[in-house]
Amino acid sequence: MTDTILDTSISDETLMDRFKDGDETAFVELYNRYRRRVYAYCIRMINSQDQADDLFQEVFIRVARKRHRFLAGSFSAWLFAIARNLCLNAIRDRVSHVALEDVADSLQTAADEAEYDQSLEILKEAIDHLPADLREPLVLRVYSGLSYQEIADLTEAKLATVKVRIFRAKQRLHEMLAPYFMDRV
Amino acid sequence: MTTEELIVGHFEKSLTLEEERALQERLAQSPETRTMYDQYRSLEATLGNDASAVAPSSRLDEATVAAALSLLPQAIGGGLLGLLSSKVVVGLTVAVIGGISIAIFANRNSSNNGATVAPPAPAVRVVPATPSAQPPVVAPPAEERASSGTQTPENAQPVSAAATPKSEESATVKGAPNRTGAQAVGVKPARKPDGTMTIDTKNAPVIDNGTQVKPNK
Repeated sequence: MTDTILDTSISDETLMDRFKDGDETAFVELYNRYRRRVYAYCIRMINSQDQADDLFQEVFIRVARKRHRFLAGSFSAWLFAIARNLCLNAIRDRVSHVALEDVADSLQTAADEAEYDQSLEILKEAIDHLPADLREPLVLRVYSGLSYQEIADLTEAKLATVKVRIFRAKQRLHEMLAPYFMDRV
Repeated sequence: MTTEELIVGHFEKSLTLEEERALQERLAQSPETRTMYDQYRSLEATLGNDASAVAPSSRLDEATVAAALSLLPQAIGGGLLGLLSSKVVVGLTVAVIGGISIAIFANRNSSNNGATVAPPAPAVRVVPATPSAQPPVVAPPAEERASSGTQTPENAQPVSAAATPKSEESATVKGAPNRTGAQAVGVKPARKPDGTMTIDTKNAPVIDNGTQVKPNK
């Protein structure tokens, strides 16, 4: 059993260099560092477990396949750019336009019947119904832990725009979920 | 700044000290502001719970690591060895068939009543690649494949075309190094108790190519 314990202070970029040289443990370390964040991005952007699983797997297959194309810069930015590219292409093929009012109505009905442990399901539905331009920065911020600046770089948006979009996303979620949260406060 | 902006900014930890003070004042003065604050707090808590709960399954972990690492050439030079082996087999096949052809042609000419004939021109034939020219494939036991959570190309399901950028390569890895036969010495991802992945280089599953490996569900 290969059980090499890598120094956690080793940078992602150094690990990537090692991986390019054939060090499989370096890949596993990178995978462990990012698996949750990338998966969270995929599943909250797509809201379909099967499709998110496929996309998630494809992200890391591409990391392996295109490893020699990573030359400089932030590994995190490169990784999320791959994930983003895949997810946006998948979303582009989905046609789902639901009026916010309809969503709020359906969530209200669900909330009326919901128990506390169903709050996550309701939240997932609400996030899925956010417009993509609001959902993405929210997911990158909350689920993937990226900074405002990293989100701005990744999405090629201005820093102020990212902040406004995250605010708007939370505002929309609040609008949709307020009836539900009203019972809990 | 609106009250809502102050509340969201508070939970984003992006407010200045002055803005924090302004929010505290509004919270102290307005029950509506307090209600809105509490709702946002619930929202933030739910988002945080969800974010901490989301993770790939262990089977997806294993399948993903196995599929990704199957794209690496082996340290023993598996890819190069495989390439050389196939070329050697093709070369030998051509030589053997060509030699047999020359022998048959020579025998026909030598049976011409003992008459002296000109030496035959070298028989040059185009020998198509035969199935025997392919490198041998050693399949692992069926139970090993089943237990490793991997799939063979026959039943593997590549990512849908919708999820693949048209400008990039297909999700089905073309020309990916095959981990068959001598190349089956690879890595086997495993999970540690803390949920992180590690790899086993001794008891590796065979990944027939670099296509996606579906976890068993």
